[in-house]
Amino acid sequence: MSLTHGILLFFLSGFASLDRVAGINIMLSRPIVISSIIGIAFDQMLICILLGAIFEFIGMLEVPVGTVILKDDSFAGYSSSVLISLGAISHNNLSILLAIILVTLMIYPVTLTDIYCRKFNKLMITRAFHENKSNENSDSFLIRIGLLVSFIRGVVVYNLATLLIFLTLHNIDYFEKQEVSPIYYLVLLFILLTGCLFRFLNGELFIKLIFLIVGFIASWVIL
Amino acid sequence: MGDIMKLLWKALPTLVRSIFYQANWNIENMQGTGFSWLLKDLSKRFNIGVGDIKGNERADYFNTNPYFVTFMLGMFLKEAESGKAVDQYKSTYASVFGALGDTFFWHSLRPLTFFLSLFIALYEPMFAMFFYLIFFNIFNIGFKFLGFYLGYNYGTNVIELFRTVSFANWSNVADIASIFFMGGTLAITIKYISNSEAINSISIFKTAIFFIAGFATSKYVSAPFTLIIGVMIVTVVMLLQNI
Amino acid sequence: MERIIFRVDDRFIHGQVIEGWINHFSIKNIILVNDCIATDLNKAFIYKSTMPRNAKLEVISVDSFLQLDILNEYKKGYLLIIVGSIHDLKLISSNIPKENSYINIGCLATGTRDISVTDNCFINKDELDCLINISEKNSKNIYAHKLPWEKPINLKDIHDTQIKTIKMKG
Repeated sequence: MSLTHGILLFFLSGFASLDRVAGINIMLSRPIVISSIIGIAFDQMLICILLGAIFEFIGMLEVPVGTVILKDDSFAGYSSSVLISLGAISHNNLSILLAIILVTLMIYPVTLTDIYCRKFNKLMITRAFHENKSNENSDSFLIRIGLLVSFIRGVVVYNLATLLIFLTLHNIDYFEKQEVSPIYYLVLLFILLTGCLFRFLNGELFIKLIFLIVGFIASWVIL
Repeated sequence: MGDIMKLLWKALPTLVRSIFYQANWNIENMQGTGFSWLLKDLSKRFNIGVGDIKGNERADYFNTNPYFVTFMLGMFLKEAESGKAVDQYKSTYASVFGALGDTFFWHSLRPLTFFLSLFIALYEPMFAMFFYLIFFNIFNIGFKFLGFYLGYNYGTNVIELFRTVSFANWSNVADIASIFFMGGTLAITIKYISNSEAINSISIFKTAIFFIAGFATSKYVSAPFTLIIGVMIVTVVMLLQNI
Repeated sequence: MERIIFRVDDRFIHGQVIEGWINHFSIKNIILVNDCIATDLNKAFIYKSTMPRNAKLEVISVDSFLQLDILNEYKKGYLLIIVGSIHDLKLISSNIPKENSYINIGCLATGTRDISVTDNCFINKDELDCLINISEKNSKNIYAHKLPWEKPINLKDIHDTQIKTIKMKG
């Protein structure tokens, strides 16, 4: 990837997020458009346009009515096209199908950041109400900060999530060739899920934590 | 014609600003901040006291379709100049334009533009993106600029115009057109793949099965999960082909 | 979904109602019950202009609705009845059929309301009590959700949580 490509991806991810979250609405954020731009830049036209078309459906099947926040299909189009253009997906069938699953799943946490953007806007407006600022400068400030936040969100979140998928795909490819027991990974996943259950169980966090540690140490020492 | 251009030229900075008015979208006042920002800007350009435009409080809840906001701006300007109270129509028109705009732009125009551009992509992939942007934005810019003029010209009676052109039915027409092009795109894609020696051919039978599977699953699960289920079905098909 | 849908929505007809309910269930008959709009021909005309093809909107007053024999006049297909406030729902509650009906709370703006049900539905204590009253009288649950495919929130649960909080504070 050259510097020009880097700059293009920086602005594309930012403007795609801006276009869908904060306004403009010239449809630069549609997956088919983003994927086509990346496809042209990296000379991967056909496959990028097909990926864009597939993720375009996710957006088309929902309508942003009222407070409904759409699943971030722009990210899906961006991410899948970047992954294929950077060679993270080898041209083998299973690899691209796995990438589609990972990108689709990643849409959910990415959409969550969209919701946080709206919450940030709410925080800003409530603060402005509180300070009783009602002049035009304050309005312009709120609009500008909204634009900036959505741009930064695109650059940071879209690229970080893409990087995460990139690493996952790369690691699966790498570890496939290593002889590591699958039990190792299963235990790691088991530990992750105990964390989830820890939150779910009732009780004060501090007390829960003490009991967890006591239980852990006692069993470690005695058994 | 001269009058239209004069009016639009005078309001041009506000109309350009209107593409950013959603930037403070939040669940407290929705687009209220942006709309009040636009109204203040408009009153400055047309030398109307901000106080003369009622209902421009930032705290007020306001939400409509972004492509219709300039209709409201035009309407507010007209009524402020003639000294009539328009704020009682603010929520009514915001809701109604929301309903009309969401149905036409988000529900129908996106699929239509998508299938039209895919149709073009089958011949020249490079043009698909440009076509998508140009076709959609003809409506976008048309509604933004012409909308301001029409809103100003018709005032609170602007809905009659929508009734005259049966705007509520545009969505149905666009949907039917999308389905027509959907059929066309499917046919050309399958034909193209079947003729290409490098790729396994896709029979009409297989197309029908996958189409029906998509139709059935979409009733029960959301789009991303339909896609994941689709990927799983594709892997099964791959497995069966290799046995 | 039951055939006769009652919806409380202070924005009456907007994107969610058209896209989410009318188009989703192909609803052909819609009744808007509101005294102000029923007398304001202009506003009624504006709302009527949003209707998709084949869908018919009638704007009537509360009194006219109470005289309406819903089950006999609308025997087939879905019927959507929209009211602007919980107060109006209370007024028409005697004409809510016991069977085949569903009560949905859509958008209610914040204003002075302090109980948040969904991100765009807020109610106050009196309104909640009123809803529970209607719910018990008609022996059916009342659900809050913007769109039919969203997870519905039972107002009874909100009521129970409120009582629990008050007890805990007490």
